[in-house]
Amino acid sequence: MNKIITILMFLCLTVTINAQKNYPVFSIEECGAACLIENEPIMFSLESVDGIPKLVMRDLSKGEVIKSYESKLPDNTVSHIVANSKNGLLYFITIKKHSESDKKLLDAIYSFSPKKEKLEIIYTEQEETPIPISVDVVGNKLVLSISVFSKQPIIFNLETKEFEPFSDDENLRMLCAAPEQNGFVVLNFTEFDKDDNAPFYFMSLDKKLSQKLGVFNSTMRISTEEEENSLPGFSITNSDYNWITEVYNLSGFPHAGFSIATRAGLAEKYSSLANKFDISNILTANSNYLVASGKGETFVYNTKNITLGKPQTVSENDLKLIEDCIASRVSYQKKQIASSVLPKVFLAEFHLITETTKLDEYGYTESSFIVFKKKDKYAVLKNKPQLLTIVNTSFKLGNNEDAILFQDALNMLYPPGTFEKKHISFYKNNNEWFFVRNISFDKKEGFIVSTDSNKKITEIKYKLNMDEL
Amino acid sequence: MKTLMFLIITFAYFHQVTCQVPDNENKALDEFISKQIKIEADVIKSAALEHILDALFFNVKRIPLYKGDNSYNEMVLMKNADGIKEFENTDMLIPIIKEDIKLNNEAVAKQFQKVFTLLFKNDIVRNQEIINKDNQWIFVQGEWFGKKTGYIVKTDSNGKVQEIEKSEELKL
Repeated sequence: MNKIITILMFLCLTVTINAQKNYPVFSIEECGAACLIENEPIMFSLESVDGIPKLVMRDLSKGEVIKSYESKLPDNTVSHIVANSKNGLLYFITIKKHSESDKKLLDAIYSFSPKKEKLEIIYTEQEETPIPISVDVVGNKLVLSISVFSKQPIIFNLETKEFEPFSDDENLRMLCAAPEQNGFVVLNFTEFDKDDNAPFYFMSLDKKLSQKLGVFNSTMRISTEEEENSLPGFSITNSDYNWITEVYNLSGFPHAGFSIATRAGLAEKYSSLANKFDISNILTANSNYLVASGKGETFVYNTKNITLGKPQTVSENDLKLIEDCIASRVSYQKKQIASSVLPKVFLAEFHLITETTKLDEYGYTESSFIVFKKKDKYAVLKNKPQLLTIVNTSFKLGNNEDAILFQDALNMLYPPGTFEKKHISFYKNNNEWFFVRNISFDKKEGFIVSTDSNKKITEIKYKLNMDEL
Repeated sequence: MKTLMFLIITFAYFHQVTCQVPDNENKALDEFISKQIKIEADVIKSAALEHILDALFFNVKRIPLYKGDNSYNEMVLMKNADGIKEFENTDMLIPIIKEDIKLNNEAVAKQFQKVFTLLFKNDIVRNQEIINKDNQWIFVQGEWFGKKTGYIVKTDSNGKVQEIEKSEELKL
């Protein structure tokens, strides 16, 4: 669980760096399995139409339903839908519950012809086979991946309707299927070195193994220090196989939580999604679109030409009602921060704004922020280094008297709390002034103000650990 | 006197000294602050909501831009003949269930489960289940520290919903 939270935190941190948000092209009620058609803006999904589960074909550019199929769907839950671009058929994988436990097992494989609107069961599993984590079509074979590194995928031959071995070499593992290239990206798990690197290869449908194509690094390290982050990825030495990174990034669906970060390219796409916090599952994606679900809805994004503006789904009248409803619960108290010290240090007027939000009849929350006015223009003081933009040009920070003045100004803007008062102090080191605002667990927190040779302030930083420079 | 001076200086030193703003400034600030709040709203589209409930629902995000950290508050608003208000708890459901809705079969139960999933955004939804015992329907939405969480819906003998209760510890 901690790992998942760390991953999500990492993905969220990445988001803050990525300024462009990608809004959904459209959203629908949460669907079951979904499948995208490569090179065409089409999605097949299992949706509830008037309360009845149906297979629906949608135009991804607008979200409109092209066709809702009347054919009866499998009785058991469909976990995966995959399309075979060669014969135009869809394949449904269904799951069943173990008779004596809650364990979910592979149930059956169906084919569906969208042209003939015909559903046909092509295989019924009699054994207790675990449900696949992902399914692909490669040539005339369905590739059911059960586990990434511990087991080989199960290969179902669509012509013979029988299972066949993935490889004669039991040490080979599939990193991803490569449907367009008619093969698989594989590695030999006995070749992993102590740094989690292993050479990888391409295996064709007729099981011929290529020469070594490069190295796959499986290390996943997530840190708050960006440079320490590492996600699994390829170092490709044969440029004919550069496509592998993209194919790997868009494989192994569905992905949820921790699993998203196993594909760096997918994690990047996820990070740019405007409503990423609503998402619990990425159902599928191709080079143009990404389909994700969560909180009862399914969202479709164009990841090639991202949707920068939020699509308007609410009428102007309703939006006005919503804004008024929210505004009626919020009030603002505005007070000028009055002081003879502030104008000496900063060229701005400051106002303390307290926002009170009514929660219910008795409860409310409060939060405050500072607004400053410079040259008749208002701005929010969003962070402490921003103070540099409003320092009085005539103010010099050259001696203890200047520092006392600066500290007084800070006290006006950021009044110390009861336990912080005793720590308020300052000291100088070379051209830097240190204004301590609090000490907690032996860590000094406060402002570091740099000056030039004329004692003019050139930089204002705020550090939670001032000794750690 | 010295003590008094000291107290005044200390007060001025350690407390934010504020004063009320004049009317014109107040108005200008109101205008500025209103631009610091962004509202994003979406209609919650769902066949289940339309079928079961007599109201329109919106996912609403209130984004305080002044915080500068991309944070937001999320809520569900409900609009019906009585106006628009925040959808907060199960008590608000029964008055808006359509007259002809009867919870007496699995298809309708599945729609109720969708309603819970869509309107109670804070629920952790995982391994959902529906269990029917006489006039009681138990909707398992997820699990929290080994305890099943979800909703208990009681109906009369015709399937008309009488009571909806949220439970953090469902007894199955």
